Amino acid sequence: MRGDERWRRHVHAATELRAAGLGRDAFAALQACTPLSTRCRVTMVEPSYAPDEQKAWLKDASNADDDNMKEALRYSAALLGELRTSLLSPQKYYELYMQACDELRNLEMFFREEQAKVRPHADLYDLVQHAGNIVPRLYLLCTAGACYIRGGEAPAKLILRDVVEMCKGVQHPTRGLFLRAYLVQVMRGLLPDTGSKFEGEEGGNVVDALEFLLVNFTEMNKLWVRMAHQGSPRDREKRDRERSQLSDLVGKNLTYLSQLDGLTFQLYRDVVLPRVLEQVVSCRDDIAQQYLMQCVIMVFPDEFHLGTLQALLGALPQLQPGVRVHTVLSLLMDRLANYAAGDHSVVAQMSGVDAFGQMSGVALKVVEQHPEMPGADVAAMYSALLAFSGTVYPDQLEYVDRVLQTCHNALQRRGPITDPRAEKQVVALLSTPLDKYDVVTVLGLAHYPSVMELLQPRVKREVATKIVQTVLLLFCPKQPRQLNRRCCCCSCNEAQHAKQRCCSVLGLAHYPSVMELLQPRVKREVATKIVQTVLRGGTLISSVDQAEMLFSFIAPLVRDMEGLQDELDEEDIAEDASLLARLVHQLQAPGGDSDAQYAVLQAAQRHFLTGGPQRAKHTLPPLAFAALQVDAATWYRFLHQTASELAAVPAAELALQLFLTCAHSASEEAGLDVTAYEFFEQAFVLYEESIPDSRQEVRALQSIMGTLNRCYAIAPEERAALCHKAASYCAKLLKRVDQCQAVLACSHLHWQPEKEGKQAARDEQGVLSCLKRALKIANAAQQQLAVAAKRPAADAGLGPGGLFVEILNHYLYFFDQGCQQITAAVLQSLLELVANEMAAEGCRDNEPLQAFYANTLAHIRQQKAKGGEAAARYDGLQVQLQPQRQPQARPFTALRQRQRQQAAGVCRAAAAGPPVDVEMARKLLDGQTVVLDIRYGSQSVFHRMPAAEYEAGRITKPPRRTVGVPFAAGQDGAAFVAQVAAQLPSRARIIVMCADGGQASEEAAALLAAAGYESVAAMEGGYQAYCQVWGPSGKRRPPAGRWVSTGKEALKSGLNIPGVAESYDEGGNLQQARWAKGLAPGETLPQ
Amino acid sequence: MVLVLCIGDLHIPHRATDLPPKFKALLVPGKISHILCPGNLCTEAAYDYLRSVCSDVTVTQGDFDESTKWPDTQVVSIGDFRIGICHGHQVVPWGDRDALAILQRKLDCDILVTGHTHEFAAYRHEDRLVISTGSATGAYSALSASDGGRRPTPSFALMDVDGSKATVYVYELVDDQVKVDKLEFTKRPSGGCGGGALQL
Repeated sequence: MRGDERWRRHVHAATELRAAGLGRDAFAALQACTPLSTRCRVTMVEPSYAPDEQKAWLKDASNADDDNMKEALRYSAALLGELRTSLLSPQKYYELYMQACDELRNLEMFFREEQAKVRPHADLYDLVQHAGNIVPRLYLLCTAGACYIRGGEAPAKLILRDVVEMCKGVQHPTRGLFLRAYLVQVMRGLLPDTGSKFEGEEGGNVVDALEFLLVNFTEMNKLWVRMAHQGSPRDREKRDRERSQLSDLVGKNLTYLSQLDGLTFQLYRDVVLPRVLEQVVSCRDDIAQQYLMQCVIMVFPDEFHLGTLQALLGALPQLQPGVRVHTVLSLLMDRLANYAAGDHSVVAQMSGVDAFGQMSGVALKVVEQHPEMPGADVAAMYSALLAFSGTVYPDQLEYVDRVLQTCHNALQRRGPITDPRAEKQVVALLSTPLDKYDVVTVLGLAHYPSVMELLQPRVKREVATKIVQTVLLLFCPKQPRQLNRRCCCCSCNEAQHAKQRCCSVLGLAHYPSVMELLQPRVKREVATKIVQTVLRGGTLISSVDQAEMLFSFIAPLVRDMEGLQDELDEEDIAEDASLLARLVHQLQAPGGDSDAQYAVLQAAQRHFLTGGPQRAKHTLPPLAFAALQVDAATWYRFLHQTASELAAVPAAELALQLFLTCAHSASEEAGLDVTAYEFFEQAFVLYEESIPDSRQEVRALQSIMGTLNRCYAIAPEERAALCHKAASYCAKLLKRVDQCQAVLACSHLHWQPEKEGKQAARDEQGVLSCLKRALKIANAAQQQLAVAAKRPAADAGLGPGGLFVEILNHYLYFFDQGCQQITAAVLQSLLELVANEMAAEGCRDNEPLQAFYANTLAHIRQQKAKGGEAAARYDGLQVQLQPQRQPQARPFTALRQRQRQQAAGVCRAAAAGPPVDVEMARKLLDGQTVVLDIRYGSQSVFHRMPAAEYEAGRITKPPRRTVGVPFAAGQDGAAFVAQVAAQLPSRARIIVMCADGGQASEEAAALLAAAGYESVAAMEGGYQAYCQVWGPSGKRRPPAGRWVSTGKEALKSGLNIPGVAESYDEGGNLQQARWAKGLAPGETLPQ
Repeated sequence: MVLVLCIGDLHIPHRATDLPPKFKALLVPGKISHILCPGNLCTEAAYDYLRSVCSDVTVTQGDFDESTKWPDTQVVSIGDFRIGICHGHQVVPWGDRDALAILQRKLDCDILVTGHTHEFAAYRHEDRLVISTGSATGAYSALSASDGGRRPTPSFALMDVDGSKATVYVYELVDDQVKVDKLEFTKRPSGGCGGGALQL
């Protein structure tokens, strides 16, 4: 507290002095007569603490002289005595010192005046030494000495040496420092510098001036360093701070040194620098070394540094570990860089002394010598070096790389960087080249990534993001290309720019490793962006190197990334892969160089195969097509491999299509029959083993047929084998409709279109057998439909009936094509068959089918009308040109008509209606009709059928709708009619059924009609025929024919009768199919 | 007046990167009211692109389509026309006029839009019109490759249907220049198999 109080008092005194309201001049004038004014005296000297010896001195002084001098010295000493204090902090001491300096300036003026009063300075010089305390004494001595020199009475050299030696008397660091600071300050203008008036034989020369400053510097530095060791270690930090504040005092020496006119490079190199450095190095103090090195670099001219680079840099490794060498180095480098920037000849000079080499050498040495140096400092140092090389040698990329390399080595030994400060520094280091060069260049640096490796993942990501952003700027043409400053060529247009940039980015070896550092999600985004840019710019990837580079860039799209699998769903992967797929078409070697192209595509294949099946599915096909577009026979191996890989994915269908395309290409483009055969074989293997569902089977078979039809080069036997195989597949398709259409397509395998220079395979027999097979299948399909008892739904399309028309069309096709085996007669019978089918119940109301049929007939008509040779072949053809709908006779309508006629007296003969067939009977039985069963028992005409058998044989449901009245042909009609009349009213609608539909039923029907029954009809075929079509439950029995399915369908339709399936023979039975006719939709029975 | 775009065999990304930019510039949303695509869009993305041009897209199954959801054939009625669409790989021999005629009779359509050959064709056959859209991307096809090894010309057709009159504009990209041809087809009002003047 006491110190503070005192300080306040000191300051107060000083302020009072100024506050006296006297201007500076007035004050000076006042002092000129009375050196220290009374007022001043009162305030300044009065303090009660003025020590005894001071008083004594004052007494001495007053005794020595009687004029003002005594007074002046007394007061000055008293004032300066204040500087003896040890209680003030350096800053406060400094302020006090400044006050004192002001006073001393006045004193100096006074001394000068005294000299004018012929008081020799020598006396004065002696006189001041009477002061009792060393601090005031030396201050006064300095002041007097200055006057002595200025007066020219003494050689500067001697006085300077004397004073600088005398100052050693004060060894207290703070006081000593300020004293010496005062010394240089007063002496600075009085040095025997070259050209100054103090230079001379006696006064000495610049060497003496240097000597003075250097000695003073050395001493001051010692004091300064000693300061660090005062006081308790606890206050060390505070002390260091204080010392830093005092650094300027020491530095002044160097400043004055540098300001000497006589300081030549020679002197600097031989005298000044070695001594300064020696002092700096030997003082072993962090703060001092740090400051002084910076000071040296700052105050002396650039060219000096350049000349003494070695010595200067040599000192750096010797500095204390705590010294931030990097700041020193960077300062030096900045200076040199600026120097080089201002003067280009300097660059050559720098290269001459290998400035970069030296600096990097020093950096390396520093790092080696201070293994404990924190990573942050290492990084900072290297980043300074990087900045230097970037400024001075902008073209020497290798330097940058070297810096990165050494930095990497240095940092690596320090392990991963975790310290945030170090992180910051490394980030700065990595950002430097980004700012100085364009990113393209940076990423070409071999050691850039290795330095990045050292960072923590989080920080790495930061840098990576920055880099990637920069790169993306390149990709984005809208952005100003500020970052691309070193490769600006503004004459080319934007598109070229984009292309160039893409290319140059692709030349970056380390971009991918930078991307590695990003978060997987971001990586994927960036990769996507890159691909999109390449696609948008239409950049062609023309060499393997470029391709490899690109693929490593977009690795997140190419394969699974760690940490990303969970985030991506199938759709995302598909999206990525299709982006890649599109990219494939940009892989084009220039000028159709197929070897280069092959290499590029192979590289792509290799990468794609690492992506897993989910991607390969999308990426391999484009690869194959890219390969197909290059016509070289060697490609088929590649294609085979690609397609096989695709098959293994598994993407069997796609692979199969690919094999077929390859086969087509091999056969037609390259004319390689064996290769084509091989591809077909592979396709067939896939077809047999890997096509999962029936719809895909149909599709695949369509393609097989289409391709095989187009392949001319395959040898006949092999071709026949393939055709045979394909034909066998047709039969194995699930649906009859598909089977039939496949067989129709198959017919074309035997009838290739004519092609110039190619031998078209034509086998009429083969065609015909296919067509016949198609017919058979159509038949079966028709029956199958009947079995299912389904009316074709409105949206079912053409249905099986359409197959007949389609077959007809194919017959016509081959007929038109001149197939000799298809004659007009064959066509004629087919036409009739089709006409029949078209008239059938299932087809009549199928409008699309009828339209198809009509169109076909119209086609025939047109062919006929065409005239010429083709038309002549049609001559034998009788075509019913409009399909006719033949209205079916409706039994009861006819009957009723007849009855109406009867009633009108036109025809009195009573007769039964026309017989109904079993189909009609079944339908009628759904209505109000009853069955009159006239069968007898099996044994004899005259015995009634046993009741059980009869009950079992009832065909109606419910059974009560059957009335059993046995009747045999030729029997007595009256008894029969009476029996019937007992059970059925005359209005009843009756179907008369006998066992076999023979005479008996007709007779019975006629009898009943004659007896006045209005609606009576016999049933064709009787019980036997009915049971053949209808089962006991009233459901339709399956028609004859091969049973396709395992019987499941039969079970489903209720036809689970044992032995049913076996009973049907192949080929179908049209007769039975006709039994299966029903009423047309919408048609109802008359009431 | 209805604009109908017939475009197919894009094969993106299998055989092409994208539609030619000049085509893309032509196909702006809002002008076209129907898109008929015979198939081989290959990916859903291509379908989505077509949907972005016009929401009414009719697609049939191509042999390289990823999805198998499309039908093999479709028939749409636009104006007075029945327009049948089918990719054409099912029709053996591929691209054969007579074989396509069978399909056309089967679909009972006045205009048949097909693809697969990657070669644009528009012709009258027995008073009906057949349009083979070609490949909009000029994608590779083994068919055309075997016929002289040239790359297919990118093409599509734009049909302007006005009642019983259809004007077909053929867009082709020849030497990176869009070339447009025009042909007209009129359906005779009297019958199903109407004939008409066909001019190229």
